Amino acid sequence: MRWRLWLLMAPALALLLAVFAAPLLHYLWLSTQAQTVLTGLRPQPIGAQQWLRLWNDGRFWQDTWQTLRFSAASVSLEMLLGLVVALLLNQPLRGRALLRTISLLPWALPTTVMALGWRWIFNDPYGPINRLLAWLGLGAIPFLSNPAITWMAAVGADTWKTTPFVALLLLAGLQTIPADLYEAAALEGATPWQALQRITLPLLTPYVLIALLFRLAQALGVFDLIQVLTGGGPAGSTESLALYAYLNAMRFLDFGYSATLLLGSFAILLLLCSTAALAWRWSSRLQGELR
Amino acid sequence: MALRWRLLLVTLTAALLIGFGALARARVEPVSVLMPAPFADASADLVQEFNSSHQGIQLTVTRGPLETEAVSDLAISSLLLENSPYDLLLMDVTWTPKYAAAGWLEPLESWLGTDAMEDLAAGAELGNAFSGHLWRFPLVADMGLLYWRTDLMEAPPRTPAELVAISRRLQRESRVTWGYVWQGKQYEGLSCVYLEVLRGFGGSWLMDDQPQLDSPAALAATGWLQDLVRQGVTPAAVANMGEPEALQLFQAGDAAFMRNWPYAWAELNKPESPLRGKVAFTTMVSDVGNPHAATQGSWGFSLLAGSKHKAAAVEVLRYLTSAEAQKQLNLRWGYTPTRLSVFEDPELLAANPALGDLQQALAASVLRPLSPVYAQLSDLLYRELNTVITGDRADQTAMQQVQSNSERLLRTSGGQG
Amino acid sequence: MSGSISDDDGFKGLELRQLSRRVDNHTLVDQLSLTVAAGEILAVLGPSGCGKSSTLRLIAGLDPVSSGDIRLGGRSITALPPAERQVAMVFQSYALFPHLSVERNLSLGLELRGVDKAEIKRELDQVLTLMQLEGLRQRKPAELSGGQRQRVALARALIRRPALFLLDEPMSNLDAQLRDNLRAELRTLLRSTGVPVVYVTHDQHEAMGLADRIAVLREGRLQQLGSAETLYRDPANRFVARFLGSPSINLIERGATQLGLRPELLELADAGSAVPAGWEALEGQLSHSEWLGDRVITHVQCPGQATLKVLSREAPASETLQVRWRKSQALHFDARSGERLPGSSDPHTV
Repeated sequence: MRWRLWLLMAPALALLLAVFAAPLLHYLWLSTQAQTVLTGLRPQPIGAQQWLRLWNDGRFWQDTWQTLRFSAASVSLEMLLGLVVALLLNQPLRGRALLRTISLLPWALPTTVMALGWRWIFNDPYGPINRLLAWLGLGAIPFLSNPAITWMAAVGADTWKTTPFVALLLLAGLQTIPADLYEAAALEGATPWQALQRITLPLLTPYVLIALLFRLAQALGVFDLIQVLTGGGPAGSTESLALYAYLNAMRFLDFGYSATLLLGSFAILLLLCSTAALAWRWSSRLQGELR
Repeated sequence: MALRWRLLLVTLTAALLIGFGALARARVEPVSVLMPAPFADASADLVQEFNSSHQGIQLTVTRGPLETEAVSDLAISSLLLENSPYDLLLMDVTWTPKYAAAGWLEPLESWLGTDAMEDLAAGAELGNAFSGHLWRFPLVADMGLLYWRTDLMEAPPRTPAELVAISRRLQRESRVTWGYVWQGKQYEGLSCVYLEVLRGFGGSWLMDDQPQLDSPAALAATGWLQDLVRQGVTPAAVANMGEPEALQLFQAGDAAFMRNWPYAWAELNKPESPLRGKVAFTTMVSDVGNPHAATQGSWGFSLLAGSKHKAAAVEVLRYLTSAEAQKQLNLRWGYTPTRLSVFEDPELLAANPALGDLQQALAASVLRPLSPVYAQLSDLLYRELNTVITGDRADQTAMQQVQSNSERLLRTSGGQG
Repeated sequence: MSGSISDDDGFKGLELRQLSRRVDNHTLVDQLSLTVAAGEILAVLGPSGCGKSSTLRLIAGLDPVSSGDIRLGGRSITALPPAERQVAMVFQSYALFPHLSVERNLSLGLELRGVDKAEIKRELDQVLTLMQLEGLRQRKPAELSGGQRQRVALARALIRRPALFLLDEPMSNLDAQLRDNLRAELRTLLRSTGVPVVYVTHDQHEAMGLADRIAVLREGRLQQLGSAETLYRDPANRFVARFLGSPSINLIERGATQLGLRPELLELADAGSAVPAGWEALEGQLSHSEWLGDRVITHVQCPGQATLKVLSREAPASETLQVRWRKSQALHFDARSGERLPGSSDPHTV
């Protein structure tokens, strides 16, 4: 009977293999080949040289750190703000439908357009924020020209853009929680804050996890926002792994190393996700024991 | 009859007509050109004229993106698929060795003949040939210029020290907020800015295929740019300035000097520009005894090796780069020509008195390294330079880093620099 | 003020005074006044939309009162938030917290009120034993049957030792068999709490089987309040008369009056039989009959009347029938308003 199961799953497995495994294997092979403009774009085997280069590439590690920093900051901000927005939009307000639509607009905007808009907002000295500061007699903020600040500006723009997505997902989650649970909790003596902690958040957990997963995957692969907003600068302080891999492929025509970079970041991502999953499982088991 | 039936009928008829039209034109050779959006717009008239005067060829222009590197991305994406829909590409000067080494270009010398380059103005011939072949024919010249305010000074500075002195005096007198704006963002434009200053201090980027970026001249150039920011002659925001940002600040009247390309001349002299008639340009400042350099940034046509209509494409190339076409492009759109005969055209000189200055700047133009790995070389340079400008690293450390990284890059690329 | 000592009127039960709730132009509860004594079970009965659930929500404090007063244990609770009313409620859906175990569902209220752990454990053990839920302590609501969920919901209400018990159709999600079995059990349990109980239902059997008194509501207004027997034998109006009883009461058209006759008070005879003194009769055709095992419902079509239902021990023998009744047993209603008319003094029936 077993073989029949496999037979029935075969088309799906073949598709998965074709879509995910095949490109990975191709990249793995490519990472052992020099395929650059100097080889006339013909692959030439060079063994593990490019992996060694990756290991010694300070820029790769810097970009890894920067990508993680960006993802951690923007995703946690988005989750927090998304939850607040979702809770607000879940209130029986007048004109709620309109508010929901408006709050979705940033998400509907193409990233490049949005990034251009933020580049203008962050402009030094002519952007609206800096004009306001000048009008108040304060100094301009070097949003895009100070390595210590620019990454935060990028986080701000990303948060603005994707908070609606998180809010929408969490709002969908909130709407699955029956109203009578809150009434029951109120009768049990729960304050609104306690109801949020004891009822809303635990019941929202699956939705939070989905949003977290989506957003982390997107944030770790951030490219177009950075490309348009900062181009990776200043001083390389906002360059992401995806941007570095893109530079190697499309600008430097160094496809072997670009593949190595992609696999390298993929490995880091995998490591990170499995660590997070393990930590999650461990903590929920711990919690279960405590109860 | 319902509206949609009528629409359907009209659509069908149109489709049939187009179909017949395509059949009738089956013997016509199609030639497709990819250009950045501004060039595509500017050459629209020429394309129309070409098509009406050349019955055997159907020329179509693909309007690419606005940004230089985005056009390259588009071209490369199609070339990687090994079935590019284009026959001709309008190429930036820095792309040529890379594209040639990748095997994507067709050598032009056999198609154009040996005397093809003879009419080119001094400086315009640079950057078209690489490793013994001609890969590109220039359409439009482009070079870095120093713009200065005629309402603030009698004559432009000719040395770095003069530029700083005039800036500081004007700033002290509160006549401008900033002295000098340029392209300091982490991108290709910063390499262009640096090359001019580097030449002005007597240095060079590569010499005999060896990087010279930790030389005293290189350090002097880096130090000068860094000091501009430190002394407040240049705003710290320069670390994120490209051409439009610098132009915006200069055009608002907030700076005395700007480094930019010739396109800014037309922008500054538009009727609504606050600086109309108050601006002039010259070449970059240099230390005594060193040349006033202008980084070459020309655009030219390359023939793709994969083209199935090479002869027709070459005819298009000849037409679009002809003296008559260049004259039109200058008259209507202000593009700088590459042909000597166009620079000396009395009609053009009368309409555009700055043409002579442009010709001189072109003659002073310097090339960025002609190398298939130029993109990497430049990336190494502008990244570190930007680090210096933002004050994150001492100039000496940064330049030593660029030097050693560039050396390693050129060594591993087999000296093909 | 509502909570002050001087306000205490000494009544230990629940009292509603002229309670109303209006939403926009719609009156959900209209001037409702009633009392429920400590230890008494009051069923609030009515069709859906009659305002019975709205009333319950007002008492619980889940919806704001438009006018009137709610008093519990001698003082007004109208202005208090739900948490401070000492009211426990069993929801129709049970509203169990899906992410918490049975145990934690029960203990949450005590935890929130800061009861200490040992105390919580003691109460838990007691209630879980009482409700026969010991074996299910660690289960999540999704892992329980309908009956078990209902017991958990009841247990959650019991464990808090509330001053008032509210139940909103607690049996409507159970199958009929289980409902019948649970009724007596639930009655004993609720009685044992010694506090007022308000039990909302649309099921007359449940109301009659469980409650000490029944309040019938229609369009937010109280129709009648009394024991099941009073409501059945002496309904205040046609609505109450029709809502209680199964099969429902027969209404015989008599001009401006309607006679109300319970099916068990009608007798069948052969058509053309003599009508005894003090009786009245109609003749008609047998429509059909329903056999219930111990009794039969005979449907008789009399000219100019709705089909009459007669409940008897035996099935009719012929197709044409006489339906008759004692005049004194007929209830009289105003045909238009449905109000009850003084019966025997009605001139038409003499």
